[in-house]
Amino acid sequence: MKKTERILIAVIVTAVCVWFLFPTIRWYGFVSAEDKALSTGTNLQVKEYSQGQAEDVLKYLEQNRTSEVPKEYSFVLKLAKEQVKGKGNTDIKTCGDVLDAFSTSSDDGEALKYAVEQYCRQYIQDLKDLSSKALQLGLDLKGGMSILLDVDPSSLAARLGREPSESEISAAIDEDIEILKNRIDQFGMAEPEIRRQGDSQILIELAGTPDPGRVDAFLKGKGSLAFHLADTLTTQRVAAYFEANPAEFETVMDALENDLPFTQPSLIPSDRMLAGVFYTDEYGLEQLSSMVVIYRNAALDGGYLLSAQTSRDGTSNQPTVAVKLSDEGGSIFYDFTKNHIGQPLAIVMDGHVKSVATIRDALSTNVQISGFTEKEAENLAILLKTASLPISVTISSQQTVGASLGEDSVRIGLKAIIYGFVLVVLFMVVFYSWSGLIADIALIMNLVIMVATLGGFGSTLTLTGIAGLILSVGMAVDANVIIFERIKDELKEGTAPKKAVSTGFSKALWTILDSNITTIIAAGVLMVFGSSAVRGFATTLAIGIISSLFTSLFLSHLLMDLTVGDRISISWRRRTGV
Amino acid sequence: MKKIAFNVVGRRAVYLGIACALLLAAVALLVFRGFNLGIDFESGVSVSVRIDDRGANISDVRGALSSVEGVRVQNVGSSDDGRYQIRVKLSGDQDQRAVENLINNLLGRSFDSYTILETSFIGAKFSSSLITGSVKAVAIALGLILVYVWIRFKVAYAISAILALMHDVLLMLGFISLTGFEISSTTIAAILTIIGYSLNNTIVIFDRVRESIKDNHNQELPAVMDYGVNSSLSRTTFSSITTLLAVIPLAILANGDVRSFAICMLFGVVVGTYSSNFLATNVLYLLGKTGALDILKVEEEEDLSDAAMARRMLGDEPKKSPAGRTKTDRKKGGNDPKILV
Repeated sequence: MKKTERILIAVIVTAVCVWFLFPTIRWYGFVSAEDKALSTGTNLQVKEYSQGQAEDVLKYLEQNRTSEVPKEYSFVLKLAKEQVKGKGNTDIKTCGDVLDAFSTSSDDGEALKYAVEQYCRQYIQDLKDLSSKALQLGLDLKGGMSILLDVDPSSLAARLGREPSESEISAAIDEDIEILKNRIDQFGMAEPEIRRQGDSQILIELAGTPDPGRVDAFLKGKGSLAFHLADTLTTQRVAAYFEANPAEFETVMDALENDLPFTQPSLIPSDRMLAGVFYTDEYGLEQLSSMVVIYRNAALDGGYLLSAQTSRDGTSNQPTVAVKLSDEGGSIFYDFTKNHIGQPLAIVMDGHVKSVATIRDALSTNVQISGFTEKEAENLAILLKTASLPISVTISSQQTVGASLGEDSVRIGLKAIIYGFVLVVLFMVVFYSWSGLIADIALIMNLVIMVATLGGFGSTLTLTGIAGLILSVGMAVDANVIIFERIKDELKEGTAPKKAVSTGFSKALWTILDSNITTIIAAGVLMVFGSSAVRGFATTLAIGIISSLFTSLFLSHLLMDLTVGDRISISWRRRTGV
Repeated sequence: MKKIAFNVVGRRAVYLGIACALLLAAVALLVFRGFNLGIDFESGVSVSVRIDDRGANISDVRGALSSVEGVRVQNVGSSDDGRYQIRVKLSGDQDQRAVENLINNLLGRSFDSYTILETSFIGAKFSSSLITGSVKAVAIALGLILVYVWIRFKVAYAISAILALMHDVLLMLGFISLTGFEISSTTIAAILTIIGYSLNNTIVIFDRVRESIKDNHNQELPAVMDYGVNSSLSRTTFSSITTLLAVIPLAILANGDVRSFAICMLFGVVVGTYSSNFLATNVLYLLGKTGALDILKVEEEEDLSDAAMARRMLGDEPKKSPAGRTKTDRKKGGNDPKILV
């Protein structure tokens, strides 16, 4: 290979690595701690932040109409300019200008508030995107909970009434994962990570400090789903009653919103109760919209449900949810619907009414529920599907790391890496003089490649991963030491420096390959068979070995060829060869 | 600087003796002392706490938790840190969450200020799968490595390398037993790393030994092998030192699992270096000497030394003519074989 080609390859590899390293540098170097905290927030926190920010901005602008927009709110200038683009005055400087840009005849700052809220939401979304591209710390370093679940195929067998095939079990596990993902979203857990591990395990990782009670709730899917008959007449009576008693209405609304017990209004018969109707807003949070009276006893519970899908009604083309019930459930439902045609049916989950539909026909195993927008139908289908896991799970192991312990580990790990690195770098210069410096450049490049690769693949850096990183540093040096010792041997035999370098590299080639390939074999086996902690270690080690092969055999070689002429400086004892 | 040279094969009785003595000690430790099985291997709940109350000590913690059945409390790190590890072995259908809550409540009753640093729960199924998984991983790794070395070198080299690795693994296990470190995913990772490290070392040395055998046909085998070991001595030393330099800060600064990992690594690097230089070489020598396996007929594919080049150019490559193949004289009983061209 020509020298220019080799230089080109080295430059390209470096450029690619820096490109992948960039988000990591931006994330850890230029994103403030508050922004980092924001990006890990739950949907509720994002919502509260965005809306709060919108209120603050509006209030500030109104109070300081004549002054210039302060730096922290400078983004509203951009929003205002976008708002008046092509019409009106684009010279916006003061708070008043911004308010004017957004003012319309009808609302008082709603348009501005909406724009600011949207902006904040997008801002946090961008932060989340950036953080997913940067090298993330594992739960053991930033704090969090990881849960390993075992699936129990016998539960699937019981449901199907026969032994399930392997592909059925596998499909059921995938469905479980989907359902758990949905449930976690609904529970507002931060940064959930759910994936399959091996044939029959599911790994869930939750950052921050999740409440164990809530975790249990979504694992066990306490989410009881049931169909209850609704009572339209009593609902209307209750509405009239509340209109006369607004204070009691407030108390009841408050109780419903926060899932607190309350006294049922006395006009509701004892076999019925008042329940809140909830919808899911754009942040994925449940919002109380109205209330409805339902019968306490469920007409049918969700255990009989087999599947749910969205479709469209053949004649009206309305979005519908097609639900499939088991045979037993079908006959119960048939008997029930037969007697209640024309009456409303509420779909209740965890005591929250999710939707109310009208029974149009006697139904058995195939149930069509209609009367929603497409989005609502989709949400309902997801809800119905996630009510129970197709294959039940048990906790195999669980680990919670407090955030403070994580911080300690990061600090210590970084310190250890830096100390170790500096010691090794100094050692190389002390023993190999200027050539040692080349090895050091290769070493630094090795670290760059490793971090870039880990970040680029979206892997997380765990405590054992740091151990693997440190070990890779040691091993990367080894390759350079082997090469340098070979070159020294050649020089001792009187070979000219240039020739000594090329012979040294070719002699060291197979030694380095042999020793590294065997280590890769060990790392590969660990990646396949090790537990997740060991796997983090094996992954970084494997990446480290491969990148050290590149840096020592290619990069060091190139740098040596470029710098070594008639003289070589590879030891302090003898400045030149021969 | 004076050139240091070891008489490796010549003093094999000493080197093999040291290895055997260490192995015996390790086996004795394993038999009589056994392991501190970590939570990874034992179904149960483990809670790690830091108690900030002034003057609180381990017996206070034990006292606070005395009502929990099967509870064990250990100090973690230095005693002024106030860090403790609480372990409860779960029996039958005990609920892990209930135990965690109980511990939390009891601590709350006895101490004003404490932080739960870490909790883990290991189910019975998980622990057994970890043991079988780890043993499987080691066995598969060793098997694959054996095949690779066999292909690249010769079966005698592969066997010697694997025996040296087994020595390392046993000594590591003995060391873990001696220190009372937990057997956990992390200590297993340390053992596996040392397998990789020591093998790396052994292969670099074997490479030199093989080269030395090839280049020095008319000398006694021990001298030839010693030359191989000694010519890679400065590399072995430097590499061990740099690895130690990278690991020492971790052993000093870190705590918990990472610290035990680093300390195991330090021990492993020393043991691995010893076994690569002195054990693997001597096993290889014994295999060759007793004629059990051939270590002398070696491939020449990657011999790019000037000597080899020159030989090739002059056309008197010894390997190419069957009549001129390297031969060993194994008939002379106890005598070391000579390599004849």
